[in-house]
Amino acid sequence: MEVDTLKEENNIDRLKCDLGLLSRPDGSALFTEGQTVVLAALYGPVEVKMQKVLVEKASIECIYKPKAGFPCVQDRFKESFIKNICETSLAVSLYPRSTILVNIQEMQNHGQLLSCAINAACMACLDSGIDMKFLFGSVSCFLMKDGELSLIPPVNESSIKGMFVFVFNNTKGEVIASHTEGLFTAEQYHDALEGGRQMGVAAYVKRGTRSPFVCHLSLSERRGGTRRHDNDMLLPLRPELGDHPGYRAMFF
Amino acid sequence: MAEQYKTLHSAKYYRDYLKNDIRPDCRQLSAFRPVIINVDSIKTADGSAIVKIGRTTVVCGIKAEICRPKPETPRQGFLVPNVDLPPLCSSKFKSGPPSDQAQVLTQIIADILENSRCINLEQLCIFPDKIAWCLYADIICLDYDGSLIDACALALISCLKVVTLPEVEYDPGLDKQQVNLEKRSPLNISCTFVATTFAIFDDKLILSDPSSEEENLSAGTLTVVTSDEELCYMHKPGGSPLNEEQITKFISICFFKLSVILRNIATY
Repeated sequence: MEVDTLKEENNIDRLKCDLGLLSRPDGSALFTEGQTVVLAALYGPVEVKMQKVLVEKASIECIYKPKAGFPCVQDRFKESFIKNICETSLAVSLYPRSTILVNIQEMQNHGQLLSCAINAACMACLDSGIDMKFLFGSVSCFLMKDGELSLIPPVNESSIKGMFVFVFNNTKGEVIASHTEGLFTAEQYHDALEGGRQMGVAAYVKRGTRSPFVCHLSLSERRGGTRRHDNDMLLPLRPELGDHPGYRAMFF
Repeated sequence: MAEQYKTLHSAKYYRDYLKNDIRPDCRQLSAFRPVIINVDSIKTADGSAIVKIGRTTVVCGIKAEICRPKPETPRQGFLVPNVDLPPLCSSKFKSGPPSDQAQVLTQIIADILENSRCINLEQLCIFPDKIAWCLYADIICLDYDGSLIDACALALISCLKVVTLPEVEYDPGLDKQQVNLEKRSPLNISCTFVATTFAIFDDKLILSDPSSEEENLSAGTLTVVTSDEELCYMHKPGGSPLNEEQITKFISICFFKLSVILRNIATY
């Protein structure tokens, strides 16, 4: 288990990730953004229910569990959002007549729940070694009443005018999904998009150069779809892995 | 012959049309379908609207009930949207509890309503902490032919603009209320939101206002909701990636559509 802690000087929240935490799922990840924590686990490809079977590709199911209480309509929305993103990024046509189950468990919410859940889902996919077309990463961006943009949720909730959640792919850094809250102008949307992308890149690039996180990613890439059991595989910091696809994968 | 070709190779059938910058229903790629709005056609509701976008048909009815405000917001009433996708509208939906798509759509409509701040819920309060109006906005789809978010949003805002609520006299001492059904007043709606959906076909072609067939064949949709001068929702649930230029183009199209729709709404 490796934990990466990184506090950027210029307003990005602390990101942490822990892969392979659970023993039963094919892939699992605990993702932390600041004080928001989400646990994701992935099973798949597994046997499909009769009514969900698709002949030309795998069907993806996402189950979102809130911290307390029963899932409500808002959680259904998150499920469908994450499901659509996974459908875009996973190589679903390689697994016809099967299903991929993505389970998301909210642990702590401090404002960036949706982006954190999306990142956790990506890390769980990566950990499972399932074939993907590209990786995705999500950033929450908060628009304050004074027009400023921040990637950290403000302490005072009433100062928020709007919120943006962007999901980028790692190949070209294009937007694959977007969700917004509140009122904003077209310029503000563009600023947030640009800022979110740059901050996302900055966070992942910096982490890439000196953290054990990247080694871990490289290992997941090399594992080629098989489950890791050997703890010796969890190597300490290996900067020479910098050129490995797993490393580049994190540039989005 | 064309009929068989369409059934067997639907994607290629579309591609052949789109190569010539035209869609099978004779529209240009960026053309919208005709929009018809009919308001106040249901007399048993406090306000109603029927919206047709091409063949997509949506009915919205608002019923008002008197209830007690929540203790945390004693000065606010309620507005509860609910989208129903009955099996009547498409073979995609089965009877029984609301499908996932209906629940997601309900959430999207509720989000748009909240984001746009078009209605101040305080005007629904009759007496703080005692009684308030609860408006149930039931949106029912009668014919599903794509761009459902657009139709639902338009039906809801048209409906909100024609809702009238009866006057209520409340005596806090006796906790008695008197409803005067003869004297009705409209709501104060501060802005009009208009949703516009685009489909991304083959990663590069953009189809405005897609029909359900086009939605099925395309690799993703994007919905932009504009409200007066600002944007209040940019919803893109996965699908083909987009770059900034495309997004800018979408936003400008949406503002144009908003102006057209506003002109239409202003006539009633």
